[in-house]
Amino acid sequence: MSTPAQAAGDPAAVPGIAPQSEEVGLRSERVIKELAYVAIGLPLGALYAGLLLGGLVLGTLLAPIWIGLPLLLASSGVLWSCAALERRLANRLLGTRISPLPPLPAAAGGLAQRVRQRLGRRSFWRAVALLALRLPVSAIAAAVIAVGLAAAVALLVFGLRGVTGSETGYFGPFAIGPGLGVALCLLAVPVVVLTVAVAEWIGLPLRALARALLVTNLPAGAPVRETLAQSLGDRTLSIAYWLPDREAFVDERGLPVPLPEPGSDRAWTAVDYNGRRVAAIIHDARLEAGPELVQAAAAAASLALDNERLKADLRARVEELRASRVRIVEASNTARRRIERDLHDGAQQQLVALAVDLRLLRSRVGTNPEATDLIDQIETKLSTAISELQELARGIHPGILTDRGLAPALESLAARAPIAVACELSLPDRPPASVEAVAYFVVAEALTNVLKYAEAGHATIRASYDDGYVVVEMQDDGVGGADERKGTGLQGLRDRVGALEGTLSVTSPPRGGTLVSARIPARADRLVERARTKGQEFG
Amino acid sequence: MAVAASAVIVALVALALGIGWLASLHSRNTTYSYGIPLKQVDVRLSSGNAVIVGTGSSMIRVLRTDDYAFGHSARERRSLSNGTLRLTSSCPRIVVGSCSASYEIAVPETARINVRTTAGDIRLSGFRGTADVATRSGNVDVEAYCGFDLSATSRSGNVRVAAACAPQHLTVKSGSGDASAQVPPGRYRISTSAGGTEHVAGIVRDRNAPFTIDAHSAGGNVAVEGGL
Repeated sequence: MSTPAQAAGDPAAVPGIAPQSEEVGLRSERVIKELAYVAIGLPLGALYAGLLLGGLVLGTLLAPIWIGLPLLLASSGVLWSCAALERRLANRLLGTRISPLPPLPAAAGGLAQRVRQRLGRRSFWRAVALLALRLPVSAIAAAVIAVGLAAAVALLVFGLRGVTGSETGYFGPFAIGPGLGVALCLLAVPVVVLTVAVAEWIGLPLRALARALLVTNLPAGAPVRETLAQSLGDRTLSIAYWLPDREAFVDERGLPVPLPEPGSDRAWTAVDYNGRRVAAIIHDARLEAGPELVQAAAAAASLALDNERLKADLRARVEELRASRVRIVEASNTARRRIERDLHDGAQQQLVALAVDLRLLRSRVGTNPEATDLIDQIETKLSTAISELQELARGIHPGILTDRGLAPALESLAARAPIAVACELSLPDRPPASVEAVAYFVVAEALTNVLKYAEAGHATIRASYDDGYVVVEMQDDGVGGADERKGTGLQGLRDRVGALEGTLSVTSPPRGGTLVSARIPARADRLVERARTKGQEFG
Repeated sequence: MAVAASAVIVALVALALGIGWLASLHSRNTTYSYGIPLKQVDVRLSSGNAVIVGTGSSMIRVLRTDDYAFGHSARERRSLSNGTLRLTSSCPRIVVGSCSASYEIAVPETARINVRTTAGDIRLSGFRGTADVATRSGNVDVEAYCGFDLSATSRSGNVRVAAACAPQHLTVKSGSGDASAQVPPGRYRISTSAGGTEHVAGIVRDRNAPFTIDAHSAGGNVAVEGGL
């Protein structure tokens, strides 16, 4: 176990070899803090008693009439704040290390329901019990200590007066003279020792009471993070798991986590298990619990953290697979765009130039019928080649999709279809390029299937935004009964849609037409960007 | 180790003192009387109760009860001069132990009495003379008073006076306890003040009335009621 954030080099800090004077100092400090806790408890306890009587009791009595409910609601909030104050006092003065209290339930529903939500919590009533006990417990503790101190002072005063001969009273059967005065002064010493010991012991029940009533227990099997946050009193605590293959820390979702820099308000403590780095606990640099406690808690949780690390490793691999799938699809889209651009700018332009040259040649050949016929044949073949090349380019990646967007590209697709295809498009803004490409090819593939298999007379293309998704649909009035397993290309589309965390559904009842629908997250570009970043992070 | 040794020492000393105290507890009654007419009786007690009973006899009878431990009883001084009997009882300074001396005194009902106690109750009954009784930490209880002038005071205890006749001047005072007076119905000049509640009922406030009642309490309640 090591603590990179706090490299302690003071041998005196090691338990067991601290000098005796330092130990006495620590004990004195602890006793003084405990006495302060008791002393503060007297006025605070009286205040709590007033709040309990004036808030909860009065509110309950007045609950039958309307005024009682707001009084109960307000007083429960104030009492919960008092309990939070008690937690801080117990942590600072008794060293209880109780984690922050969870907030009261957020306001929801009617007044009576909100009161029920708050007053129905077991933790609330435990805190109320602590507040109610604060005054009597503090009073008893103060009385016990006060009696001891008063006895010691009295013995000392009477003893000194006896020594000086100014005392004429009796201690039991004996008249107080110089001899008995010395004895009384000496007797004051064990009384003081005993009183100090009692003051030290009083901290034990006080600590036990605060812990019993203020610690909000976690259910069995709670996550390791929650357990550590509870025991260390830091709700902001997070855990980063070490993946040795990648030499990186990741969170529980498998996403990379940067460790806090030295000097920031966050610190981290490494957790090792069987000599292996397992995880890092990232916590508040000003944690009330000391570094020793963080290390002790980390050591206790190291096995559980190792198990969590394995899960995080698995999630990281899943996350990486998903990112790689997105990258593959995106690379495919990029390649398609490049090939389309190459065909458009290269081969197609060459063929168009060749057609122009042929027209020039025919004007020069004049009236030679054999040559003219030959040129006409070549022109026809060339025109066919250009059309086929354009169709090929469109199939790879239509230029209109890149230049003008999804809606014009879908309208172009519909216009070229040999059957009547209607377009119902509502896309006020262009979706990200990766979304446009997937949506276009879903419709293009579906339309191809309609033309090949559906025997449809009419089809409809729809595209719109729906709650953060781009939804594209292709519906026909054909024979239906489409089966993905028969190689209709739908599985490939499903994979491409799934890569962007979208969904594809096919509804094709026999003789009921076919509806192909894809829902793609409109902000899938973030996913693509994250996948690119992740690819760079993990090399 | 030091704590254990200290605990043993303190426990042994406490045990020895406790056993010694129980073994030496003692109670002793003493009676005496004066058969001469007296005009005034002054009583001063440091610890113990005082019970004064008015009688029609001219004799004074005293019953003194001493309770003490470790052999340290209260010391009494008596003096008689010019028709005034002075009784003074005081315990020695005792750090660990106990000492008290209580008195029951039967006095002529018309004599003037003056009683002071430090830690003890004062009870006065069937008295018809002028009385001034005061205690520091005990209660004062006066029954069937039928005299002219009565002053009853306690610093921290309750003061209760029940007068069978309308006193010409009645003072009931308490520092932190309650002060209450019960007098025959009639017209009274009344002065009251209280840290708690004030309650006056059954009598008529009259600035020109011949009878005066002063009832005050700094921290307690005050009640003045008419009717017997």
